[in-house]
Amino acid sequence: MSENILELKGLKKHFKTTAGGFFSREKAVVKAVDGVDLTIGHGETVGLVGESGCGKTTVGRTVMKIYEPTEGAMLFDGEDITHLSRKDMKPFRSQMQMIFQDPFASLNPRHTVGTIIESSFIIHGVEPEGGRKKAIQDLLDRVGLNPEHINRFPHEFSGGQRQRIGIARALALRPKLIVADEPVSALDVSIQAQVVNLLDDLQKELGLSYLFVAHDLSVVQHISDRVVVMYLGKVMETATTESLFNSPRHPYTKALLSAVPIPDPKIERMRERIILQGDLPSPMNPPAGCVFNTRCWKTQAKCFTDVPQTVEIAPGQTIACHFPEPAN
Amino acid sequence: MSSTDLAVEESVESTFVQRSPRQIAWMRLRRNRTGMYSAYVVIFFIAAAFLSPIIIKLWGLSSTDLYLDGLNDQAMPIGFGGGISWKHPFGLEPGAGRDVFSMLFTGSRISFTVALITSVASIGLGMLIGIAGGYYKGRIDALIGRFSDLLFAFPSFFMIIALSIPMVQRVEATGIATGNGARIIVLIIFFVFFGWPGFARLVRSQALSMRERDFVMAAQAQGASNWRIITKELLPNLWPTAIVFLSLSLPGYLSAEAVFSFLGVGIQPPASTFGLVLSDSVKYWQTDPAYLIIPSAMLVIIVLALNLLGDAIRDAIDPKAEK
Repeated sequence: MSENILELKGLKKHFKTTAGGFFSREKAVVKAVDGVDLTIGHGETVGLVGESGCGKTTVGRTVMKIYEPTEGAMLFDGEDITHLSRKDMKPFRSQMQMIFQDPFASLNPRHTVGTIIESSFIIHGVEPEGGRKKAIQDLLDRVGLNPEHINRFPHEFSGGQRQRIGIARALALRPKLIVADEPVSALDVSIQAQVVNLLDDLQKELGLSYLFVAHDLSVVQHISDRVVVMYLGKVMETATTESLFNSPRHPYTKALLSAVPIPDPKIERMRERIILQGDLPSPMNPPAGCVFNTRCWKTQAKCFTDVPQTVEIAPGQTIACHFPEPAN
Repeated sequence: MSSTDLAVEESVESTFVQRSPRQIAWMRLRRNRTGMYSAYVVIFFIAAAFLSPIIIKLWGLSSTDLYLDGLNDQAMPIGFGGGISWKHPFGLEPGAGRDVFSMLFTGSRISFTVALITSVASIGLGMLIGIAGGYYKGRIDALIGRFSDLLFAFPSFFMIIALSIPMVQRVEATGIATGNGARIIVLIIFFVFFGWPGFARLVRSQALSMRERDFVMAAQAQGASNWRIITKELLPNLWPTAIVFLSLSLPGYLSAEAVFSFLGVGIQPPASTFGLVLSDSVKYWQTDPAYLIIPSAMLVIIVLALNLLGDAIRDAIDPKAEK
């Protein structure tokens, strides 16, 4: 057993797109993920945050090998799974599962809850103790659904209940790692809390590790042990939740945190907010040097020529920036 | 008191049986009265068509015998409704004097064979090719797309007319079948060859949108093979389209066979398909209307029942339909 359940080393995922028609030879490359280092320990929750289009979902899907990684290495429990074939990957599939963002799209509308959860057993040829039906009902019970609802179709459930079905499906094979791709962002706030608490409880009971992809910082702060901040396919800052939220060192992290509203009008009026100008640059044509240089307020000549190296600026806190913010 | 409590518990226990979506669909279909009656009608006509030699023999008739004593000197059938009697329930054919009842049921066997094989084959082929194009995308999809464009743009109608006689001769030369048997084979080959692209396109567009849905990704994350994703995730969502298409194309091919038989490139007399009987009966619509009305009514009932059955099956497999 390795120290970390998951290790990503310089993971890259580039998508080739053909500009033009059938006979076109012109190729463009979207660098969705461009060199991501990340580790998840046993029983740890790592939050992956960043704005829309920064590649955080792509990281999650590449870890699940839904996308074939372009470069870099992925170690699952110490074993290299980077370029495993579909067949060789199968034993690992039962140990890592995924929860999806949109519970209305992630369940096949023509399957019953029973068949949805059962499919994991069928694919991996698992015959749980006491039979599949009992295992399915135990799972439904575990995620807080009525075990009698086994014959119902997904459309008969609310969003939060559907997300619980998705969680039950992910838990069916007792995985060690769960990649949660924005599992609560499609839900109402009250339901979000329930689902986040459910994930928390399951982690305690089953010793799960989570890669928690999200853009809602308050949810990430609540659930994560460590947080990785991404921008345009690259990691900007990695830190424990506490130090990231109390003492962000990368300008982008600081800007991201300052976008979170504070529910106290007095503080809200007094504090100085950092408002980033412009949009995320196109990942087809990222800026030279530091990728954040188009929107950063601290840029100097160096930022436009040199790519900042990832350095450990404090114990357990790494950033990729030439001019880090001072520690709080 | 305790006995009623027990009964409640039992009923809860009975709902605990895990049912597959297919079983649930079957239960729903059983509850749909229109659907079940249409199913009976369809089964009746198909069974009658394929059992027609026995039925006709039991009735003491033959589809090729000429009952000339039932005709007057203008060769028109004597009696009400084109000579309807206990012996000849649908009357007699004007001119030659054959029995219409045995003509229609013997003929419907050919019509159903052509229509059923053609619809099922072209939908099956279209489903396979459409899913392949939509799921695998890229070069395969482009090739399939351009080839079906070619078939769409092809003047298929004239090609069937021009090539049917040499094709029939080729089939006869192989010795598989002769005469009308060979013509049926050629007709089916032509219909399927030009029939699949329409459905393949429909399926391709649906598969293309569905493969990007999260539930397909969920299946990939679970480790499902492409085959499993296609058969277990995509196909259940494509059945409704296939069933609607089938219930529309069955009557379509019934009438297409009639058209080509009428034009002389399909089935030839003395066989008697719906198309042949109808095209013959048009000549007598004033003097012997029953000869036109009876085969038309039979065709209408069959087509209507097929469409209603198609609707019922579609509703039964739709999880969102009313229970």
